[in-house]
This record gives sequence, structure tokens and C-alpha cells, in this order.
Amino acid sequence: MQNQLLEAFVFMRVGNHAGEGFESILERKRQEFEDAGKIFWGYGGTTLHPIRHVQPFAKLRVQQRGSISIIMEQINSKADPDILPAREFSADGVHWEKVPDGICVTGSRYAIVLDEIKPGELDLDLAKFQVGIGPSRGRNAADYVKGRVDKGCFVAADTTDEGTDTTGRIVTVQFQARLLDPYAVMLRP
Amino acid sequence: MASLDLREAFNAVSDIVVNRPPALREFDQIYMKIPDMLLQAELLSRAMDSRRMVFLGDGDAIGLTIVHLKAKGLLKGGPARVHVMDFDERIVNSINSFAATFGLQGQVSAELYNVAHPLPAKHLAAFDGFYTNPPFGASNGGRSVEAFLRRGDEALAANGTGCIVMADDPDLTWTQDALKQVQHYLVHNGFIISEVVPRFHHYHLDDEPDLTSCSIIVVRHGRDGLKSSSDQLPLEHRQNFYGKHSPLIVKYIKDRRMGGKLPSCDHYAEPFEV
Repeated sequence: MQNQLLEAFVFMRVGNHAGEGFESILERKRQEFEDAGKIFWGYGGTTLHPIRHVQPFAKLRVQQRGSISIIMEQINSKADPDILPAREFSADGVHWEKVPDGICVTGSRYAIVLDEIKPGELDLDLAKFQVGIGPSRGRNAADYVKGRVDKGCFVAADTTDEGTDTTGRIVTVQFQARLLDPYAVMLRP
Repeated sequence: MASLDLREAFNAVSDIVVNRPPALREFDQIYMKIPDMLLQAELLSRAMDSRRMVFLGDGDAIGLTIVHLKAKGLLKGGPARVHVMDFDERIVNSINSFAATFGLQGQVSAELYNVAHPLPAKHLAAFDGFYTNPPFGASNGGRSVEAFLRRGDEALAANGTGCIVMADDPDLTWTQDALKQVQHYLVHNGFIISEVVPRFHHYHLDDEPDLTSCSIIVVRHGRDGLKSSSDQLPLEHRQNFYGKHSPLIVKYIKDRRMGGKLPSCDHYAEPFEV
């Protein structure tokens, strides 16, 4: 897992959400995995679109390496969006299905589809990675993750890019999970 | 540009901006910032003066901007007529309803069209100018741009002029790769690149707010490369339209609000309790 992580991964900062503490979310998501065999990890924003970013990025890496993982950095999030639960999901934005029994995702437009979330501390230097897809492709991950940008699809940086003046930025990864087909979905209430 | 009345011009662009539907990021609808819309419209008013223009996709509403500015006497030049072809019915309806409201039906029109389809026969070599600001091809070396260019090429008459807007940021290698690929396509298809305005526009793009794009003006010399037919986009091209594993599966975005005639479904009113 670690070698694959160092090649390519989805990165996300996580924390309290929709008025719910992170530990409570984690426990609920573990139960979700027990009940449904997968987890919908909800998120929002416009920087990591399920169809334009996560799915093509994940499909290519699964084709190349067999799997792709998300790594999560826990932060003290103040996110407190509306708690409205998603009732339907879509992998392509055209065909919509009911959210499977056992899965509850609230206050989110999108979700990453995961297997079991596993703990494990790993210090990672974001400066050694770059954005792997989308308009920021090639941008150093340490420069990219700032301000409102708190997630991304990253790959190991080109060695030819070494020598840029990007300083190291260590993040402590506390949780990780493998993405499951279809990797990411759109949600609606 | 120096003679432009800025207050009047920005107020006119404001009319356009409030008329646009929200951008859908999943289809790479990423709107240009307002001052850059004005600059782009001014550039086109000179490059496309008195020409019959077709816009292959125009979420930004640059075509409507030029027509509106020209009608208000804020631009000296400008195309004789603008026709917009877009796969998003919200955009098509917003243009046609704006034209009706401001009495511009003779100068601007819009129709529903997806670039994967052959260009309708009535549009083959029927325009003196084309404009496109397509998905930039971040993950496919500019191939998504080529699909739109191909339709512009087919729509263009002898001695026609085109304007292509493409990502242009020296810090992002993919933009330079896509530019090379597109310039190769242009030269290979008989166009002369007559003008490039580098790093000309900015966008409302959260994850890359500093991304810039350029305007490339191209001309067709005489009847060189003139097209007399149009084909469906190959399936392989559609399957990797936005990049590898990122296909074009949506034919049209349909408008539930009929260009604003029906009420919005995205809000409700909460009354006072007492």
C-alpha cells in the first residue's frame, strides 16, 4: 500500500462536518462499511469533480497499478453545511439511483466511494507530489493545497521539476482507504 | 480601446452576465472574468468586423457581448451577424431571450448543437468568421480543442478568419503541449496564424485562479482547405473527449426553466412564524 501511495493518490483534508464530530463520522462510516460493503465519503467544492477528476484519474491508476487510495489528513474543520441527506447518486451525471441501504451521506454534493477506512500514521512531504489531472496538472501539490483548496489527485513529481523553489510541506496522514468502482459519484437529495 | 466609455461598457457587459445560466463545471464551463470579456469582445470587434460569425460553444456569452456593445454604439466595428451553436439549451435559450428583449434578433441567434454531430449542411462554408473557447484539453494534449476547431474549419468560407481561445500559462506544461498540438493542426489544415495575444484572459476557477488563456487569430487564404462535408466525431475521439477515461456521454443539457420563463427550482421562501 505504501509504495502505491507514493506513486499516486487522492488527498483530502477531513474533520468535523455538518455539525458532526470527526470521530462520530468515522464510527458511522465504519458501520456503513459493515452494512453496505462500501462507504460514501461526502465532500463538496469545485476542485475535485467526481466525473472530470476522480474517475479518470482513478481508472488510469487502477489500470496501471491495480488500485488507488485516498489518504486523509485530519484537521480542525469548521465546515457546517446543511444536513440534508442525499437520496440519489450518479456515477455519470445522467443516470441516477437510490443511495444504497446502510449508507448515509449528508450535506454533500459529491462522494468518494471507499472500502474500509484504516488508521495509520504516515508523514508525507506534499512538495514531492504534483497535481495529476485537471487545469492545475503539473502544479506542485504543496503550492496547490492552500486557501480553499483542501483536496486533490496527486502523483509523484517529475524528477525534472526538482530544483524548483517549492519548500517541503509535511502532512501527517492518519487515515487511508482504497477507492472502489465507480470511485466517485454525484449526489442529490 | 482607449475611446471606449468604460462605465457604459461595463454596464452593458453586466446585462450579459446576469443573463447567463450558472456554469456547470462537470462540462468544463468555466466563465471568463468580466474585464477580460470586454477586452476579448473589443479584440473580436476588430478582427471580425463586418463578418458573419459562428460561435462553436459560447458559455461566456462573448458573441452576445459584442452584439450588445455594438448595438449600443460602444464598439466601432463588430461582426455583421453572430450565430451561436451550443450543446447547453440553457445557453441557447438565454441568448435568444436576450435578443428578443433587446431587439437584437436580426443580429444574434442561437441553436442547440453538439460538436460530436456533423455540422448541419446549411452551415458548411457559410460563415466568414468562427470563434471557439472549448475545453482546454488539460488531459488530452488539446484533442478536445480539435473537435471544436474541426467544426469551425468546416463552417468557414473562403478568406475566413477564426479566433481560438486556449489555455496559455508557461508554468503549466500541459498548456504549452496543447498549444503546440493545436498550432500543428491549424497549419496542417491550411490556416495562417496571423495574431496571438498571449495570457489574455482570467477565469472564475477555484483550483487554478491564475490560469490564463490566449487568443489565436487565424486566417484561411482564399479557398485553401475549404470543406464541403462534415462527419460525425469518431467514437474513439468521443470516448476520450475530455481526456483518457473521460468520455463525452451527454448529447445536450436541457433547460428546465425555458430560458427563465418557468420559475427556478433551486430555492423556496420561508415565511415569518408570526
